Amino acid sequence: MKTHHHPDESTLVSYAAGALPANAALLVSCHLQMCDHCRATIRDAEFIGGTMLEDLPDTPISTAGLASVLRRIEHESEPAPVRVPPQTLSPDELPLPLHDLFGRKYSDIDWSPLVPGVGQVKASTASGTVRMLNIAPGTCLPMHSHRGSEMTLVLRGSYTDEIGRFGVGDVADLDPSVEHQPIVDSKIPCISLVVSDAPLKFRGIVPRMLQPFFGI
Amino acid sequence: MTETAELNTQHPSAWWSDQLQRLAEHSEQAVFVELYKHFGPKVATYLARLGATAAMSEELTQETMLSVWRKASSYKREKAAASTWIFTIARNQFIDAMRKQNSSPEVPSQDTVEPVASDDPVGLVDAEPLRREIKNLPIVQSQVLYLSYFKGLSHSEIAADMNIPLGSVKSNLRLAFQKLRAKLRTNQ
Repeated sequence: MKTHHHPDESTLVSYAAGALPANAALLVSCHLQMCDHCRATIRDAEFIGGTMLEDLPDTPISTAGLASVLRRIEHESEPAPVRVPPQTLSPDELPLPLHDLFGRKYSDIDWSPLVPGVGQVKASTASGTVRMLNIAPGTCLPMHSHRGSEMTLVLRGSYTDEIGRFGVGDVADLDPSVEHQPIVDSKIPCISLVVSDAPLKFRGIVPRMLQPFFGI
Repeated sequence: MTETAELNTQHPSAWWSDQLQRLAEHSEQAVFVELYKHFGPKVATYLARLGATAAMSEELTQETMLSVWRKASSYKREKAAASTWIFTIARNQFIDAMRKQNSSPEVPSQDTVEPVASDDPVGLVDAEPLRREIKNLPIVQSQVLYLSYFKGLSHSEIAADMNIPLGSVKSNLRLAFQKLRAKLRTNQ
């Protein structure tokens, strides 16, 4: 599939580094299923990660650990390949990474009305929420900007705003400074996945584990 | 540390990719042990820098290397260097472990997609020009890269950590990546 709008390169590098918040990583995973261009970027960013890994100093690890791994593999038969090839979607099917959160089919989703013409469903991830918006054809959203960074991935239909036209697989990776007014220009409803930067972020690993308790 | 380095001798990156390819084709335990001894201690350092405790780092290193064994048959020499491949497995082990601790809903790991469909043989790229460029990066670019890869910090976390605007984090990360990426194609 040919996509025209991609996540910012800095977003892709962070994804490859494992440093994107879980909600943004989920959106990027969905885009990658549809975009060879960004998969090539990820591959190069992972190559950089691998090279830096190789240059790290060694931390002594226990020989007992190796022995334990060897014991475990002895009880296993031939290793099995596990990679899943990029998915071919039927029109009603959600991208694979979303199945656990939202189900398999758009037609099974119970949208909550947000404003006339706009339905929404929400789910939470390890950091931040993800939303899916279902916007009726011809709907024009009011001009708005965003409190933090916001990424939108079009899953079905299309919309147009000041930046351009966004069809299936396209990502709008917007800074807080960007103001826009999207209009759904497809004959079918435009369904998109939206993630926003959490309004309040804690630093470091341990505080990040506390985030679920604060509901952000 | 030096002792381990001597045990492993100084094989170039490509040699380790050849070894992993051998494991992919023959499932030889002796080859796996060599890979374990070479990459295990580096994976342990990587996980520790990401914030894993010593016990967690030891456990996840074992899980990473166990995955290397289990997934070896899907490894393709021309598609990824051994270091790249093992880096992604360790990264995903860490992400999955953090999500489990958070008892957050199951979201698939990042490795569910075939890395690339193209025929561009990135696995055969010589990493030396890249290594030199990493060392030559301006300090801010080097820092944002380090905080992303080895601390797992998001853009806004880096902005807070370094006390620079979010836009600078992004532009420095982009610049660093573009410079480094250019070095992957110089020999082709």
